[in-house]
This record gives sequence, structure tokens and C-alpha cells, in this order.
Amino acid sequence: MIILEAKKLTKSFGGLMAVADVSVTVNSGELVGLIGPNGAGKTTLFNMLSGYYKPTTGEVYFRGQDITKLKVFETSDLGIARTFQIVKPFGKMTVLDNVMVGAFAKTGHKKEARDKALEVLDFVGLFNAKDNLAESMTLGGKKRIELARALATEPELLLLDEVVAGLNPSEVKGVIEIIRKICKDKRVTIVMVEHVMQAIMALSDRIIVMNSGRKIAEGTPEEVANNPEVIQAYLGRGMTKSARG
Amino acid sequence: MLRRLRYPSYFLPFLFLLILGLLPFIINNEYILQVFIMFLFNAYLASGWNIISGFAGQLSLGHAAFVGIGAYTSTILFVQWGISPWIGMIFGGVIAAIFGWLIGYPVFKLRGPYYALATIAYGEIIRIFIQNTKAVGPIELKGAEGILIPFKGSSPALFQFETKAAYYYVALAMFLLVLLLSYKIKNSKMGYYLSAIGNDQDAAESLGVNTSKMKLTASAISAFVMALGGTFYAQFLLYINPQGVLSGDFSTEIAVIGIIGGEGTVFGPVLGSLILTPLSELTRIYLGGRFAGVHLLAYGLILMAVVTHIPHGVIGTFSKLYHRILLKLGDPVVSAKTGAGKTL
Ligand SMILES: Nc1ncnc2c1ncn2[C@@H]1O[C@H](COP(=O)(O)OP(=O)(O)O)[C@@H](O)[C@H]1O
Ligand SMILES: [Mg+2]
Repeated sequence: MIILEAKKLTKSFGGLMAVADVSVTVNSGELVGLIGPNGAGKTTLFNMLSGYYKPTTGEVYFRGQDITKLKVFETSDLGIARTFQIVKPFGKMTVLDNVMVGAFAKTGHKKEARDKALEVLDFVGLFNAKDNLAESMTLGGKKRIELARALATEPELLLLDEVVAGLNPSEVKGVIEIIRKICKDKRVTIVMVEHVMQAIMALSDRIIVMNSGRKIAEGTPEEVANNPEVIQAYLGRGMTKSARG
Repeated sequence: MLRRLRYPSYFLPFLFLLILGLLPFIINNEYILQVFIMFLFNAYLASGWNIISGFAGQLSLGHAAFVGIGAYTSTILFVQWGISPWIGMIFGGVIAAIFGWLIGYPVFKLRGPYYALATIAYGEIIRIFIQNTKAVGPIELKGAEGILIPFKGSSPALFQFETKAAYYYVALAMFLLVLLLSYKIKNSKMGYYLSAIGNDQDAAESLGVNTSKMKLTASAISAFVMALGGTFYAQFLLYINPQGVLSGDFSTEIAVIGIIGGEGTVFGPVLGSLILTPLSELTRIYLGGRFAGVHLLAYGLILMAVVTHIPHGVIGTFSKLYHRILLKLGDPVVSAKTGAGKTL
């Protein structure tokens, strides 16, 4: 079953085509990786899928419903959650309170929200940090907060924008395991942008490659890794090493 | 419940409440009682301001506008049509709430300092308008001259009392109600959403928070609370004028009390008022009209000290102290909960 369908999305900023004519289909239960060099348009695409940007042209359908013109909080109500590449924690609130804001999406009761938040904090390994102020957490901690908050809204589709980037190797392993569990155990459909190839190759059922605003390849991790155009795109930017993991 | 009063964490607040309740019997000096009334009143206003500016982090420097709307609405209804200020109070609240909602539409599109500047602008526009308008149709605003409220002797139904003690109890009731309201909001879904908005609007939206609607709602509630305060002010002083109840100084004073106490907390505005009210009242007594506004200078200095040394307001320091006192008294409830203790 198709959960998300983006049709010929284009976004231009003045003269710059950040995303050009990109169509994407995501099936329910799938974990799709989205890769491409810096500036390829991945975040801009995410911003259109979640309602932050209105596309210049094209449409977005979520479970068959046209959501192109919806506001961000409306896409959230429908079941789309996202994390931010540049983390946006509620700095002056505790870790627990951050996650409770997410949990309130599904309940009006403080106690239920708290229970839900504690459960999610346990799941992402932040339980012991629950009383810390979010601003006092390390980058790794803040990325987990992003993940926990999004998860607490009980989404059907989760858009992860570089949740692994910037973490140390042991943290990377932990977060990969969490993402795998979210998809396989909690049955949440995931689209993830990631530069860390180890994470993308290990997790993705399917990979979409973007370059200069366009989709240049799509397929299984092996297919994509051997695609000459993909190698060329990364070679051009001197990123061969990381592209091959 | 009664058995729990053995615990310091229950009986201390109860004790404070008891003292507040009996104060007019303890103090028989009218002037000191007046200072306490102003303490309650300022705490009330700063708490109302806190709902939008503290909880939701939208710094308003024009909140006197709402106090003025309340004061003028109930006063005009009373003076011109004989409607009891108790009823006028509700009218004023509703009009202010609608105004707070409507003004929110354009103003909440602005962020950070631009929002604060816009609040100064509408506060001033309303003051200048009333200052220069004698009447709108049948409604007599009386411009800069202000409106005198006739004193009809002791008539509680008309919000008029002979003793300061009676005004004290009205102020106390309003003070307790606004604290209850703040506490309820703070501990509800709305409180969490407002807090999220104050921290990061984009992130809040991504979690399903309708940020525009939340801010408009908070602004309307805040305006309602301010307007009720305006009616109290009018009935207490029996005179209102634009240079007083609508002044920019008044708006600033309300905000400074909230900020010094600790914005975004339930009891911060109370502490802010506890520190600043005696200061402004004392300067008023000892310097009289000679140096009007000198208390604002003192406010400014205290504000500077607070924002540079304790950026989250006095409440943080006070919470720690209070927590330590409770521990010293061997409170079992507090000792059971480890950790630094939550900000009140
Ligand atoms: N709000 C914006 N205004 C102008 N240009 C933007 C904006 N957002 C992104 N861009 C530009 O669009 C291009 C794609 O950016 P982005 O989507 O962030 O890429 P990626 O996430 O793949 O690194 C870049 O050239 C970037 O500078
Ligand atoms: Mg990006």
C-alpha cells in the first residue's frame, strides 16, 4: 500500500531550483534512504513533504489525501512526524517535558502524556536524562530528543533528517538499532536522509539518490552503490569514500 | 487532606494563605494595608501578563492597553448607565479578550523584538486615541481629563467599599483566582504547548501544535485577566485617565515585575511584585509627586542586576531556598523526591 506519494515536486528559491521535478513513492512499512551530496535538495524535499514549504509546482499525497497545502501541524495530526537536521530542542524545558509535548498529540491528559513520554524515553535510551534541561544535552542527546519527540506523536510516517550525522561511532550504532526497531517492531514507515553510509546501507530497503535538485537514481542499496551516475555524482564532490561506506 | 497538613510542604503554603487571609486584622495601618493591596494587584496583573509573555514567551510591552479597556468599559457603563461595575467587569473582560484575539492576527506574524515593538505601538495608539477623544457617539471618553467615579458610600453591589480591608479581600480573591488559573494552564496540554512555542515555534508545529491558535487563545485569556484588573483599579482609585491606566510606564512596570520574578512560572510574578511593589510605593510616599517615575529608575537597576546575574528571575533562587527549608524541616514528601526540585 502506498502511504506517501510526491508528484513532480519543484521548489525554486529565486533563480535557484533547490528541488526539480522529483517524484517519490513510499510504501507502508518501508524504510527508504535518501542520499545525495550537500545542497542536493534533500532537506528542501522534506520541508515540502511535511508542509514547511509549499512546492512551486507538484503535489503531495498522504494515504491518498492531497496534503500539498496543509499546514505543518495539520500534517502532524494526520500522522507525519519529522526531525530537524539542525536540531531544535525546547532548550529551557526538561528532556521529559520536550517529549511530553509530542505525546500530547494523542491525549489531553497530563498523566497519559507523561507515561507515554517515559516509555519513549526508555526506548531511545534517554530515561536517565529525563530531568535535564534539553539545552544542557550533548548533540547526540539532542538528536535523540528529536527522535523521541517525533515518536511520541505516534506517527505513521517518520521523516528523519540526518539523525546520525555528528554522532560518535558508538552512538551511531545505538541510533541505527533504534531506527531499525521503530521500523520493524513499531511498524512505522521511515524516510531518512543520511550522510553516514554505514547507517543508510544497513537500514534501507530502498535508496533514492538526489543531486542538484534532481532524483538521479533509485533502487536497492547494491544497485545504487554500483550505479555509475551515483558514483559520478559523489566523485564530482570527492565523496567516493563515504558513498561506498 | 487534613492529616497531610502535618507535612511542611503542605502547611507552609497553608500558613502563608492564613496570614494573607488575616492580614487586615493584624495590620491596622491603612497605608501599609494599601501597600499590600498594591502587592496583590501588581502580582495579579503580572500573572495575567505572564500567560502570554511568560508561558508562551511573547514579550508584551503594551499590556496596559487591556487594563485600560477593562477600566474604561466598566467605568463608562457605571457612570453613564448605572450598570454595576461587577457586570461591567465581565463586559470589559470580554471586549479586551476579543481585542487581544483580533490584534493577535497581525501582531503574531512578527517574531522576537518586532512583536514587542508592535505591542508598544498598539498600547500607545490606544492611549493617544483616548487622550484626544472626548466622545465617540454617546460614549463619553472625556479625553485627557479622565473620568471621576462618584462614590456612593458602602455599596458592595456597586463594587464600592468604605474600608481598605474590603478592597484588600477583593484583591486577594482575584490574586488567588489568577494563581489557580495559571497553575491549571501551566499543568495542562495548553501549558506545555505554550512553553514549546516559547522555545521553538517550528519544532512545536512539527509536533502538531497549532501555534497561531494557541497564541491567540493565550492572548485572549491574558487580555481578559488584565481587563478585570482594570475594573478593580478604577473602583479602588475612583478615577481613571489615559496617562495613568494606559501609560507606557504602566505596561513596562507590569512586564518588569514578571521578568524579575521569573517569567513562565506560576509564582514568579508574585515574587516580582513582592520585591518591586514596596519599592514603588515607598518612593511614592517619600518622594511624592516631586520625582514621579523615580521608582522606574530603581526597577531598571534591579532589572539589570537580575538579567545579568539570575537570568531566569528570582524564582529559581527562591525555589532552591524553599526546597532547602522544607528539607531542613524534615518534609517526607520532598525528601522522597530526590533531585533539585522543580521550579515553582
Ligand atoms: N530557504 C531557502 N532559501 C534559499 N535557498 C535555500 C533555502 N533552503 C535551501 N536552499 C538552497 O537549496 C539548495 C538545497 O538545499 P538543501 O535542501 O538544504 O540540501 P541538502 O539537505 O540536500 O543538503 C541549496 O543550494 C540551498 O542553499
Ligand atoms: Mg539537509
